[in-house]
Amino acid sequence: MSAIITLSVLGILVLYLGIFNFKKVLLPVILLGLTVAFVLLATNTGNVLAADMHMLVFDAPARAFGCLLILITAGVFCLTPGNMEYATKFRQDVFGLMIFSLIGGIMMISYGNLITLFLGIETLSIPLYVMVGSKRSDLKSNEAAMKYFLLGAFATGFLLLGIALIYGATGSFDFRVIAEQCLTLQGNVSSWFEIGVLLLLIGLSFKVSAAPFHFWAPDVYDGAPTIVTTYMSTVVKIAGFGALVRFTRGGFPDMHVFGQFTFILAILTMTIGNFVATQQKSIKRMLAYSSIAHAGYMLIAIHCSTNASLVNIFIYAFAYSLASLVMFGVFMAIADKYELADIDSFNGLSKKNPLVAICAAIALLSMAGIPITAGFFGKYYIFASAIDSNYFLIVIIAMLNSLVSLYYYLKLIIAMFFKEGSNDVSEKIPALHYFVIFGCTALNILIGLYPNNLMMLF
Amino acid sequence: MMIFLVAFTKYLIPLIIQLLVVLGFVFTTVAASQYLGPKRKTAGKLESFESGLDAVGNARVPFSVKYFLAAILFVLFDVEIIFLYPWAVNFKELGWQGFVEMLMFIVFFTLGFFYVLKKGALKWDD
Repeated sequence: MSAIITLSVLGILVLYLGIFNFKKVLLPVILLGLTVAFVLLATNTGNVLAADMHMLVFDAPARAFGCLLILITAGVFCLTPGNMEYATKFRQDVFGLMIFSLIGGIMMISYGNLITLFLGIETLSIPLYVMVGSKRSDLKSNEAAMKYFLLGAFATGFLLLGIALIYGATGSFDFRVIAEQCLTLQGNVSSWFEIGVLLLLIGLSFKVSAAPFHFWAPDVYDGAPTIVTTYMSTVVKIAGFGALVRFTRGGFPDMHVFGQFTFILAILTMTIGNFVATQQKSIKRMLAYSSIAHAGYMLIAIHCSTNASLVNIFIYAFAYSLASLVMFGVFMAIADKYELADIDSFNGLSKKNPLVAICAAIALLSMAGIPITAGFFGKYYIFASAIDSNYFLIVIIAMLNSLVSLYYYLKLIIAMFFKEGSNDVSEKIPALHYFVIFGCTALNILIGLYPNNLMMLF
Repeated sequence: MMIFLVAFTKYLIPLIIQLLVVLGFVFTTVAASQYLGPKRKTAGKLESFESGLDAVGNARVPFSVKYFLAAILFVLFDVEIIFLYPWAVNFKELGWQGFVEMLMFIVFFTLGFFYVLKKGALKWDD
């Protein structure tokens, strides 16, 4: 709770620093504030304010996911220097909105009540609609914002109807009461309840861009300013999966009404994401489809709901967002600035900037799930616990999908290492940018070497 | 099958009857006033009503986007002010805790207003 209050104050402070023209101290203040929030959240053991109402519950998984969200957001902020020119006038607005949106994310992964879940999703989404459209003179950005807003509002409708039906069936928004009712009824839950759960899952799968509800993702990721795309494909996805896994694990210990649904969802998401990604020429669109595919892998852990699901999703999300940060960081540094978007813009990077090229290659290999990177263990744990609970079919499909994904990740690696670059723009990358790229790569390999250490967080 | 039949007779037939009555009432009254009422059309009566003033020009003209901003801000602050009423009614019961909470609300609210002012959202001509 104290972390949320800190972040709220930080957001308002950022807005005020902006209008009083303290633009130099903006980034240091934000990073300091995020650090304070991180420490407060990590050391939070008693739920001071929210405990009696059971509205927000900062248990171990919530703390781990929350700290991950703050860490990745700090990474996104470190990538902003040099990439926010489009919005120099509105910079502090976008920064403030990003912090407010992070608050929504933290609420989404720590809710103990369906009302706070809804509130969190809205707090996360509403600033996002504005951020996506923050490149005001760009038609694509406007289109993306409009599309995201309309579809997002529609998905929220599903979510709310789901919450209303669950309330109608159980008479409570409180997760403990709902879980108790499920236990006492032992499978004889009313059909309203099942429909409600299904609708709620639809609303959440929209937020994580799972397959039949993914159509907004490529256009929005492509149209939004790249820094916002980075934020969306990392923080929003972690928050969405945090909420999903909390919903499937926390509330209903032994209920499989959504088994069929998540099965279809996971397979569709992986397959569509990977196969369409192979056909993309624009890097941003390719990364968008690859993020859809990653959502599919994480949905396996939702489908094979076991006690390990929480930690498996955490590790996967951690690995995926580290790799994403590096990829978007490299893309912004060498291509996005010059209005380039094609895979060809990576050509010959290894000659111009070998270290960055190696980092990008490691990030891509991590996304593909090659050993000694974090991505390998992310996939390994999810697949292993799925096999433990006898879900063979879905694991086989996921493995075939991983092979497909290797194709388009290697395409980028080949472009970087084996093709001659044509543009000889001398890249000057800001120091903080390097810090994010190298830091994330180091962390990625560190997790790949000692994956067990993350388990202790839970 | 039996369950559906029972549900149909028990819940749906009254609903259908009510729907018919409601629709019938609406159509009957509208049609009746159309046919039974006297009609005297004068120039003054057919004109669109604009708060007593004569209407000038076309209503569908583009107007400044600033009106929207002012309107949105008005709605925002107006709605927030509504929260003061329940507080005022329960002022004594809520006591000091309520006072402090309301003070916090008003401080945040004022910060927002100040931000809007500083940002120049209410500046009309630039």
